[in-house]
Amino acid sequence: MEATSNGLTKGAWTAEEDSLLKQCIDKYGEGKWHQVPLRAGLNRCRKSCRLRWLNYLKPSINREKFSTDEVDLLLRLHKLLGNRWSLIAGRLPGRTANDVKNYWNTHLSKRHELCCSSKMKKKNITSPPTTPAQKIEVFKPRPRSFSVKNACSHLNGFPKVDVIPPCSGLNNNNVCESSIICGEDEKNYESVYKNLMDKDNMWLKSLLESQEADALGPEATTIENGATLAFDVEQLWNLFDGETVELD
Amino acid sequence: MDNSAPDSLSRSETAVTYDSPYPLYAMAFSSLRSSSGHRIAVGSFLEDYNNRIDILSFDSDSMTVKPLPNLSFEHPYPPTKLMFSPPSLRRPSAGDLLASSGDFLRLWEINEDSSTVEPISVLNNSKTSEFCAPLTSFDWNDVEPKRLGTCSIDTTCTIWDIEKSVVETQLIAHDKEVHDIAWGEARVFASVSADGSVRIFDLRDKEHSTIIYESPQPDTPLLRLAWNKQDLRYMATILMDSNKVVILDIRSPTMPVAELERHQASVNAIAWAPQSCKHICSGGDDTQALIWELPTVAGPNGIDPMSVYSAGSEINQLQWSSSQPDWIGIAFANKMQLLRV
Repeated sequence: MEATSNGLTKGAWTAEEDSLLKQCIDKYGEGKWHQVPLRAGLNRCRKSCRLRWLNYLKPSINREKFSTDEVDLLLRLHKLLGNRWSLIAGRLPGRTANDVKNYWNTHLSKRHELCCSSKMKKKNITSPPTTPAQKIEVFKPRPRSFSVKNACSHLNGFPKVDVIPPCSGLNNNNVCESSIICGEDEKNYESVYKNLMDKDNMWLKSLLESQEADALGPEATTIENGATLAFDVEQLWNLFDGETVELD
Repeated sequence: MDNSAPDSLSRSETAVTYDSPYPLYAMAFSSLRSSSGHRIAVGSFLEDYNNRIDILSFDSDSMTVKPLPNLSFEHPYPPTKLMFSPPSLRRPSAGDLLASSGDFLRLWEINEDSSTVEPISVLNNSKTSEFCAPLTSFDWNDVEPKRLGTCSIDTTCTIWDIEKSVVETQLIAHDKEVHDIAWGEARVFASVSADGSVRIFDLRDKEHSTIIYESPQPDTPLLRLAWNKQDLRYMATILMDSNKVVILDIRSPTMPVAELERHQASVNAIAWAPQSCKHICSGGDDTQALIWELPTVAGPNGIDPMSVYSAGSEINQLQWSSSQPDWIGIAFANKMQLLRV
């Protein structure tokens, strides 16, 4: 066992460590990883504990050899999805993304290259009448969320917060929380709306129009909205407006 | 539409049924009126490679639906969605274009005069494979009708230019399977996914998407998305195994403006009224099709539907005809039924 500069253990897990982690999760359930090292009495960081559990110790993991059916499915899914291991693992019950990737790299990647090159030759003769996509740049847009809930879920990763604010104060608290957590997202909130509003779309025009309606206090609209599900869009827009102002 | 309709219609006069030889799922109304009536496409739902698309003709005056056997054709796998080209699509030939999703996005030209169906194109969005990850749904942009967006179990949405048969953009839109996609305007679309989120995308900013709703229980898949074409502030979505129709206002992200909870079992399909911004229809496993009028302010006990129709079994599909807005089509078991609103 090695130790890092901050005194935490690195490297391979021992059987004792595995058993401590197992006992801890049996007792407290899965999650709240920041509390796990302390509860389990492990000199490991929470990320290490989480990965050890999800990739090796979790009882639902199938540690048997890959069956021929599984290999067949893996081959076909890989053909469809490429190296998107967690997506593939999602369709192979009991297999983790890590297992799937390792299996692919040790057993199948060579075979894959071979069959691919032979198929390329064949393809010229019996090409299916599909229009293949050529040179597509695949974008991965970063999702931006206005979600109150999302701000809370970010919090789950932070050690000192383990209580979800009580319902009564939910809305106000969350506005504050999102401004703390999403410090660097502040600009995003703003830019999304600027972005949406800059464009001369029909629906955005109507947004702008309703924005001109006079403002109600954000707290008041929040409560109203939550309590009555009022279908009054102007109030909702104001709520939104109120939120962005607060973030600025 | 029907001037001779008497004031009081009996049930049989408000519904027309078509019995198919096989279970039906996908269904679409054409915006064109042909010589024999309004055209409808229905797709079989057989757990098999061999499936079929049948073209039907509906005459609202005589209240009859008849199949056009010459225009029936084979389709590989059950079509997950069918859609006729929007009326804005100008084409040199008189035929109607039909798109279908499944193993690929396919375009077909239906020509009633010559009684032929021509496959126009088979569009594959994968650059690495001769296969394409299964497509769960698609939507045809009616403002920019050369543009069509598909969504897939591989987490992507693909925007096609169908005139050139090329991919305009492909986006990794979600963290899990994308179940449905809907256009808002020429360059803005939204999608729902098994990751439980509704996201809006703008083709002018491909670096970002905006999450406007997330299912309350994390990772409860969202199955369908309907964008209100009469008032683009509103969208409707449904959750897996839920009796709720969730109504969203894009200006009030995260918080639904209404939840319609009068179905007794899971909701399977939703459609906004083509001619009114306040009406939406939903169909579900409780065999009911409910039409809702969204109130300005909901009462304390929730919202009741304005009309209820009971079908013979679980309703799997629901489309509201935009060329004949007084007709709604539903599919259940082996039947397609047209209901007069």
